[in-house]
Amino acid sequence: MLRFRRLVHTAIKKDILVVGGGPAGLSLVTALKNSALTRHLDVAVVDGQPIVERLGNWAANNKTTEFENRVISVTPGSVSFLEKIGAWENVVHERTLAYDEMMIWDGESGARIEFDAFDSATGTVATMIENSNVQQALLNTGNTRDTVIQAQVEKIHTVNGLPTVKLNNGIEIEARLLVGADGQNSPVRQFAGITTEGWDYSRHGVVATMHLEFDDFKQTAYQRMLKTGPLAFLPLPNATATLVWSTYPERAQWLKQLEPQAFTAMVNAGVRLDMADLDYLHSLDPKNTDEIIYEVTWRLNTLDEDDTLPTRVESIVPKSVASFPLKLRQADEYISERVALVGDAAHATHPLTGQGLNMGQRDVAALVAALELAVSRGLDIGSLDALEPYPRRAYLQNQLLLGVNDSLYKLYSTDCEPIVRLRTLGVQVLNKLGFVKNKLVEMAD
Amino acid sequence: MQGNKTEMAHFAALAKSWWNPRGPQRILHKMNNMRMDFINSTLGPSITDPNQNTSKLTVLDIGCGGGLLSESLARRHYVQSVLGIDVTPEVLAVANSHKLVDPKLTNLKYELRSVMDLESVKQSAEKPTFDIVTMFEVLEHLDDPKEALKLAMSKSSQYVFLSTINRTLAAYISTIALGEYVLNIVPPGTHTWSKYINATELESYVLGSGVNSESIWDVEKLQGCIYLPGTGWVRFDDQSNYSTK
Ligand SMILES: Cc1cc2nc3c(=O)[nH]c(=O)nc-3n(C[C@H](O)[C@H](O)[C@H](O)COP(=O)(O)OP(=O)(O)OC[C@H]3O[C@@H](n4cnc5c(N)ncnc54)[C@H](O)[C@@H]3O)c2cc1C
Ligand SMILES: C[S@@+](CC[C@H](N)C(=O)[O-])C[C@H]1O[C@@H](n2cnc3c(N)ncnc32)[C@H](O)[C@@H]1O
Repeated sequence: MLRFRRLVHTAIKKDILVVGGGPAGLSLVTALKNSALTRHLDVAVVDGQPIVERLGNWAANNKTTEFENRVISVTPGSVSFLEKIGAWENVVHERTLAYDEMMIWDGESGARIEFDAFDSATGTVATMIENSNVQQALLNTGNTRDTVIQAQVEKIHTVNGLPTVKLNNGIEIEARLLVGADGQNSPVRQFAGITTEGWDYSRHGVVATMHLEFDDFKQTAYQRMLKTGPLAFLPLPNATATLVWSTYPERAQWLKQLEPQAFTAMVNAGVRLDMADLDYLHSLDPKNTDEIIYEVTWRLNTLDEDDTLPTRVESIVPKSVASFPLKLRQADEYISERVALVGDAAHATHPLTGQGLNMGQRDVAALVAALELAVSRGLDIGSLDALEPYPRRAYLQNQLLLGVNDSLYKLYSTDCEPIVRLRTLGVQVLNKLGFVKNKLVEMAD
Repeated sequence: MQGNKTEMAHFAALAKSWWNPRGPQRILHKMNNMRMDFINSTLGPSITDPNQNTSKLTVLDIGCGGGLLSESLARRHYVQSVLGIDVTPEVLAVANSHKLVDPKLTNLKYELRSVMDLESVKQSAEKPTFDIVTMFEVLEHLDDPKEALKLAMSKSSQYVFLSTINRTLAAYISTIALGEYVLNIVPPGTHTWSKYINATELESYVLGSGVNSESIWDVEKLQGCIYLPGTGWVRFDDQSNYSTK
């Protein structure tokens, strides 16, 4: 006798499944659980990394350790959002630094633009904070930690009209709304068939954590615009700073091969020496530490000390040097039926204005606002009716920001004489036009 | 079943695309957002605030169509149950199958029935009336809107929410001319001019209708709105579409 067994679909059901427990994904879950309108929704977040294990007790374990190399600058707008959702109080504040001034200068002409924390109620331009510090604060807010499932997403497909995620531990989860907070290569975006526009800058960002010769207590962020890309020198507490040096991929490779002392010398050179000198230094053998230090030191000794520039670097934290390719990407849509994208899954930007994480926070705020509205209107949270207000809020703003970032970047990545002169003039005029700078900073907020 | 045959044929044709937010019923989807906002604000925070533990309300949705409003209300935490009725079998079939997309909608039921045939409809054996009766965009499709309104009011113990197209030039321009012909958003024939009802007419129906003999009904809030292409629904302070208590 034949017996037929019905195949039962045994997926776990969730109202919202977030793929990716980075800053964007964890903010989303925390914000949803913090809102009276959306708190009843059944939410989970999956991440392939052991984030709970790594970050659950980060605050207690990391009071005195070295700063991590993935440090980001959060704008006052992001800080007030994190305050609103109850996460900011869980940040380890001793490991953050709010800066109230930003100095940008031109590597060719020396022209400067200085941003103060004009108008801003908080008196800061932005706050430097480790990526992990943001994530651990979110994990430890409300019951965010309990929503985390550690597993890699292997496959996403549609079952009975709902996106269904297959995890590498065999579990299947079906969601009314699937959120891609899964970074630049976003499997969720690929599942939804959403294409992206953009290009690679053919530049890499080299990051490192640096100890300074002394604490200058200045709380200033610096960016030197070089033809190879901007060199950003961003303050951390206790005479420490973090580096994001955007440069040609081969130069990034070269920098990564240096011994720590040679790397230290090259950062000091990158902040103070002319492009011609830098070009020469990059032609040296990266393994010849003594020669590099010698060639940098005598050159630096010919310069008068300029205390408007960042304090010199004494040493770098070993193993903190890393690099990543820089690109500009904007997804063509942030939503499709039962799918929404936030954070790097939706867009990637040059780190020039430190917007990567902040744009993600704005996405999350806009998506949560859309979902609150949807709940109050009794809509199906995965439907286009529910999701449509989200891109209406977030897309254009991000597009503007990506556009601004990109044109600033292009303006500075040339050493063509007339353009250098023009942009020097531009910066000098801009420096006097408080209004325009206000606008730029507001937009960066 | 009493329903206008032309109207029924018309809505039967619209049934398939009812739930497509980018299809011919696009304006109705947008309008649904606005009326949910209107209902929420009329009921007020004492009922709608998710932190309050108020007793839940029962709803009768007359002329529910594909169920846009019925589903929305059924999902709100302050709603106990929704009964949707409609005279067109095709749209009711759509409502019933769309309901299955969300398994949590167990408190929502549909019934094939005309508004003219409400007598026997009861919330339960003990309770003949509903806390809320809604009748959105239905009056203008009826042969005897006055009688329908009277019946609707007789089924409500607290609130009646309704909207209809106003027979004014503004409404004519926005829904008939722009809506049907210029923009081709809803297929021609969805609205017929002579059936449009004027705001004052509606108000006098409500206040002077037989059910209001003891003057228990009052028009609580009137809200007008117009659909502007490219902008969406815009509110103004009288006329056009409105709701009553
Ligand atoms: C190497 C690097 C250095 C950076 N440095 C800086 C900097 O110095 N300053 C700055 O402002 N910005 C920097 N950024 C950008 C900033 O970190 C990002 O903008 C920010 O982290 C974006 O957050 P997110 O939550 O959107 O994505 P992410 O932080 O990328 O998080 C995505 C998460 O999704 C998970 N995930 C992806 N695929 C799967 C899958 N299939 N299954 C399960 N989980 C999955 C990942 O494990 C990850 O945790 C850097 C980015 C990178 C990649
Ligand atoms: C414009 S639709 C409105 C649908 C729904 N109320 C909404 O606004 O989403 C009008 C509906 O009224 C229904 N209808 C027309 N005459 C009716 C009657 N006599 N009794 C009940 N429903 C009727 C039609 O079938 C159609 O579904």
